[in-house]
Amino acid sequence: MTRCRGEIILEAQGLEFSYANPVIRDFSLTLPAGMVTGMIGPNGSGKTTALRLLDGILRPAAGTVIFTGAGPLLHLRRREIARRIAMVPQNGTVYFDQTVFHFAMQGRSPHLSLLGFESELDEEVTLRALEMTQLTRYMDAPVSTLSGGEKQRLLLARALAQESEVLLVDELTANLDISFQIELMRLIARITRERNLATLVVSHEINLLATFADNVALMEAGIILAQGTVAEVVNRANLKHLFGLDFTVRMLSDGKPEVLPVIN
Amino acid sequence: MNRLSRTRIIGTSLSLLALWILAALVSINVGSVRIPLLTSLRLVKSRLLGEALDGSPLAVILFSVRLPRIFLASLVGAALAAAGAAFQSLLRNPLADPYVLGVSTGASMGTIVYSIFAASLGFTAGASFLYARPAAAFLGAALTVAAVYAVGGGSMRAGEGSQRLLLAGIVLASFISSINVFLLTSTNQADLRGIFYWLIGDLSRPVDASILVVTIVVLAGFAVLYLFSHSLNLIAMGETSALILGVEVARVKAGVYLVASLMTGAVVSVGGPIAYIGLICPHLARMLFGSDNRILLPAVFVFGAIFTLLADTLARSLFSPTELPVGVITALCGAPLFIYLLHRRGGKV
Repeated sequence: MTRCRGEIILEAQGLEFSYANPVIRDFSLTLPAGMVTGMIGPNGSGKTTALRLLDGILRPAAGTVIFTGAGPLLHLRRREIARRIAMVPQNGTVYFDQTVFHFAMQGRSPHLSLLGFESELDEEVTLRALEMTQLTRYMDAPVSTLSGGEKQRLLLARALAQESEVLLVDELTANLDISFQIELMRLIARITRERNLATLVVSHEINLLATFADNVALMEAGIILAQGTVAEVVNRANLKHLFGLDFTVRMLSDGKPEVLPVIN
Repeated sequence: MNRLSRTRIIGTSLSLLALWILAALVSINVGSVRIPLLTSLRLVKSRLLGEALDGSPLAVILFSVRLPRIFLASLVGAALAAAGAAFQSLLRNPLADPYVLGVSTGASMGTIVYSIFAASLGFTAGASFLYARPAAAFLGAALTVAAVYAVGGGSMRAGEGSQRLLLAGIVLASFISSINVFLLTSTNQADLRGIFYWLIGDLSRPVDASILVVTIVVLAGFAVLYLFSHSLNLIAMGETSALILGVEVARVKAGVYLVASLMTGAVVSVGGPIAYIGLICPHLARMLFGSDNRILLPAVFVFGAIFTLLADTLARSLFSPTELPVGVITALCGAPLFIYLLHRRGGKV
């Protein structure tokens, strides 16, 4: 299905979710095609839970998540969701060791028959995903030999192999040094444009999101405080409200804000 | 690269089947009465051609004792090994197997309760008798699984959940073991030695018609497990990952648990709770054929048959004419082998 850039692909309406206490309250968010939406919020504000609701892994107590053209996620089987929505989880783990190539090829699963026998086409798609994430040369290496940054890229490669229209990324840049963070965010922004994906990136790196995201959603205690363009949303008042800290926000020449917390 | 091809799966399975036939030929030959290979082949040929065997004593031993026992050992081994491999993938824990999870012990409780009350319930012969013992074993296995889940399944977080399930399995298995011994000693069983053997895992009892039901359950169960093989591969990577990649995790978990328990219950009802097969065979097979369940499950199914067949052949021939319970041999080989594996792979099994 070809989509216009900016067309809403995934939409959450009034989601509610609780474990023991309410975690998500009246959560509404839209993800447009061809754009990176960044999500910023303090620890425990429910970002990961929100992502799991958006991928249909968790069932909301109220509200719906609608995939344009396919309807509410509640009515779709997991396979049907996985063809449309890919997610890079926060901590992917490998129990029985396998090669980088085979790990990435798991992303093809939702497109395969029950026994999951892959075709040459699936290999090609997987190879392309490994190329994009610059992992081709580790293709035959066991996953356990990869560094932290390479493992993160591999999780992204697996998600790309899913060939979905929506990409949800949870804290991909956590534990990475600054050059890896920039490299990965640049990659995600490029792929989002090239494949016209609706991408949501959760991160604590405000400046990284301010640079690479088109839109930003601020999340506080299970609610979306504000959603809009970076320039609209990333400002001193919002950040102070969110983190209880003072910030200096400086507009750079390209119209992107640069954010620095005032520590004393 | 090298994606897994159907040819490789079929080739591996056929090679292992050939090895199994070889092991069976050796096993026919060995025992308190030796049946030379050529003689046994000639007898089988005559039987297949419908020729009269004239009550030859070797023919009686071959067809009523040895071949049924070879079949039984293979069936029991195949089922336990496949169930073990499935449990290990499902719980993402290399220590999971029907024995550790308490499924085998639960099945033996079902069998014991059945054997105590069968006569008074009127299950002595006929069709109901065929199903009743395996069904009782399955019921025992299923109840134990439910109890293990109730005790250990409270937290469903990926890693922690499976640890708790295993611990719950170990605790419940020892608890049920005591119940088993209590039941057996308090009900005046005539054949205490036989029961003691059976509790360790013993294939020396004569094969009765219930083997047909057990065979059907094991083969059908294996077919269903195989349909879950790719989903199990993904679940082995973590439940969240599997969900993201489109697996109906809850449905697969329930299905695999049910089927693996059914298979375990069926074979425990005839062979007792034989230890280590479900633990060792999947690890050896994984080292040889990789961890992809699409090739691992068929490989381990035949591998378990070969392993158990050889173990049982040893059990009945080492101190011939006295027979050991096969569980003694599997534990004697299994425990050191397991320790070796732990060491060799630096604790990463």
